[in-house]
Amino acid sequence: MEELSRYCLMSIMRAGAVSLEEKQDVVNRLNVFPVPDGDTGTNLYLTVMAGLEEVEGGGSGTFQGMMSAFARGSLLGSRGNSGIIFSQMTEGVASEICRSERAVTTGDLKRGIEAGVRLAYRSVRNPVEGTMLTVLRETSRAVGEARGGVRELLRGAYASSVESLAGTPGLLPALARAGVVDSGAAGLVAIIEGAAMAVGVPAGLVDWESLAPPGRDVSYSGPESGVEFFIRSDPERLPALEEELSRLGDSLVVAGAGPSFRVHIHTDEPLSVLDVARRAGEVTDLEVVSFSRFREGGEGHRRPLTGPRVLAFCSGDGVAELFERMGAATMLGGPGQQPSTGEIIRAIRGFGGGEVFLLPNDPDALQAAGMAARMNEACARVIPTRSPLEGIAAMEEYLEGEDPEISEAKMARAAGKVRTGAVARAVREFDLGDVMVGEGEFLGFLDGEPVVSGAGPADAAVAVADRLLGADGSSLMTVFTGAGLSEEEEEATRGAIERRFPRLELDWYSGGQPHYELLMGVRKDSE
Amino acid sequence: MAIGIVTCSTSCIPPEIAAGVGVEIVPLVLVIDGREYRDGVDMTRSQFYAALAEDESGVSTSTPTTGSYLEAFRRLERDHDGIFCVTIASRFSASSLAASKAASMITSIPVEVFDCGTAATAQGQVVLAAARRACAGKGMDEVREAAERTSREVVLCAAVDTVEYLKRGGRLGSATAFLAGALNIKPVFRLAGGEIEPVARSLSMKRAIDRMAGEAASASKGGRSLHLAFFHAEALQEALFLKERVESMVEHSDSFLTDFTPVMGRHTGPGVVGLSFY
Repeated sequence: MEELSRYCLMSIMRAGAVSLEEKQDVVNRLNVFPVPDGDTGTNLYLTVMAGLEEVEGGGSGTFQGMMSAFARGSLLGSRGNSGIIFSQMTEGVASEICRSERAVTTGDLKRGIEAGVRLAYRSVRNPVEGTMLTVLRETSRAVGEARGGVRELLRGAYASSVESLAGTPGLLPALARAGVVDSGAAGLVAIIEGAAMAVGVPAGLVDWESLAPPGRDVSYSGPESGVEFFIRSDPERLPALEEELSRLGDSLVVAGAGPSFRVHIHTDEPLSVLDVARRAGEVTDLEVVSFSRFREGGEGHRRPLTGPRVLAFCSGDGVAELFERMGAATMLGGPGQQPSTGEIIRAIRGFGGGEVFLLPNDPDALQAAGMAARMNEACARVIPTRSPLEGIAAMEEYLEGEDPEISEAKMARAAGKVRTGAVARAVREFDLGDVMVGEGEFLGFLDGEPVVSGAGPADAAVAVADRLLGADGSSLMTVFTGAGLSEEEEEATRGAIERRFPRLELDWYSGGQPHYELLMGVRKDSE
Repeated sequence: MAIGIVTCSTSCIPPEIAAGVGVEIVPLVLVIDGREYRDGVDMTRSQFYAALAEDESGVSTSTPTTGSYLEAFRRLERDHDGIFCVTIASRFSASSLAASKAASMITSIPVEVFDCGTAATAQGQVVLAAARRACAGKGMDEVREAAERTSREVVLCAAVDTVEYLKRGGRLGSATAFLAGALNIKPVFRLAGGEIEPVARSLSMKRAIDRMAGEAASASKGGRSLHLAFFHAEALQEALFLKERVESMVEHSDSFLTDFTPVMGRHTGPGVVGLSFY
């Protein structure tokens, strides 16, 4: 098997995706902090799926054509930092093997993977070792050294990637402290494992279930994709199809009079849906609409010709409302619901050309936003906001009709002046040396890093505020309360903060964001 | 014998401070339902803002009369070498015309009328800078030089509680676009070097105040000591928060809190909070 066939490529890629789909939750739980906001597995899976969809919809006959379609699809569908890195990898492979018209050999593939690793490293501003990048690099070296056909190549890749994954805690102290391996790296290994199995390499090098520390109750309901397609099928086979599909999801709609029917379903298993459908007939116009979509309705969704040209990624209805009140357009974002690069580009196009400012409001959305800004023919500028509180501060500085260079600088400066705190419920025990937290207790963060713990949200919030405010305590603190904070907890928290800081003014909003019971922001002018 | 200092009540200088440095305040004229009142003499500012909130249509302001400037000059004429009169920026009011007219009627000593290019507490700070020189026995040149320098340096920031008054008065001009698409936000304006410009559109009045405090903080970078003045139109709590916030953040040599001048308050409506500093 020195030469690679189309069929072979397709089945390897699909096997990789299926494998990742199975391990998605485990990968999501591989989270450095015991806050259930991990979404690496989901982001990576949706990115791979977007690549596959493009291949299946494109129908280009050549190996090269398929690979470019996969790269294009995964790039547009990439979300989260892991998704971006993966899509860059495929882009590199595609650009390398598309140079020749002849059949692709394992040698071409090796060169492609090398090029992909280089591109992936370049896509990250500050490459960090002990992550998916490390596994990519070490695996590509093993691939380069492998002798034989595709099976040997994947055998080597699998073994090397597992070894590399095990080494990630040794390279990143945060991983070691949390007792986990890197999540993006694990996602990559899941893909490679599936691909290797597809060519007959035995799996079993990773005990997936024991990989992620047990996390209780992940408070947001699982990922949901909307799958839509047309199917040409014998009407008599439809009841059986509906029966099978209804077991895979909900909101199932099968419409039309035949011979072509439109099918719509909300599911966590788009691949299985596709398998079932293919057995029942010919599937066309497949569309997988995943999590992120424009928020429906609401003032901010309309795009007046004048008004702020700002697109804010929001998690939590209250947070989105605040951005909309200030005139920004909003799209769903945040942990577990990151928008893909393609979705961001479509949203930018919704402004009808011209400059658009992007407020990612989450560290894990910065790369996708940056990628969209680079790819879009219109000029989009990313203000690197890592929290909605930084986003609001940036939004406040936006002035209609100002020179975009000046706006960008002012917005970025305002965002940079915000110090942020957060309080989140821990779903497992966690020991960071100085900070220990028990399951169900609360962890306090300062600028994204865990610094304190508390039995209740009030204790944690006061401890975070202590660090945010400094000795004087005369300041303004803006607070967004999360969806998980009960009314009693909110009252107790606010009371505790007011008692501890009598000179503090609070600007208190119901943010409704998941995962974080409290998001806090203080403007630092003196620093 | 020294230089006498005169200004109009738009300078927002609290009476006790004016008395302390011997500044003569000429009252602005407040007009409510066709009746005239002298600002701060016949009517308090709270009464004025209450009337404004009740029925905007019957409320207006007018420049101090030439006669009232002349009265002030006459009071100072006998025991001063000269008079320095600071008026509100001519773009906001025609006070300097009335003052100049009155000045031309004084022949015994020189009377200079200075258009300070700013307003409210910023005007007040120009006046106080001049008055401190005059109190120290300095001559007209040094008094004028202090006023000129302060008027160049002073920055005024204000946040309005509602843009309704500005909109109805057609005073928003180019700032209309700046507010487009936003609901219930608190715009922050800045007046410096004779120009009014929008600075930010804050989510809340508290955040607008925090934002304005930031303006003062960046002006005091490097430990520079500032002169501070705070104002409000029926928003004392907010003004006290702003004052406390700024005073805790920046080195300052002096600071006062006062009511916002009705000349501008007429157009912004009640709820304005701001500060000036240099």
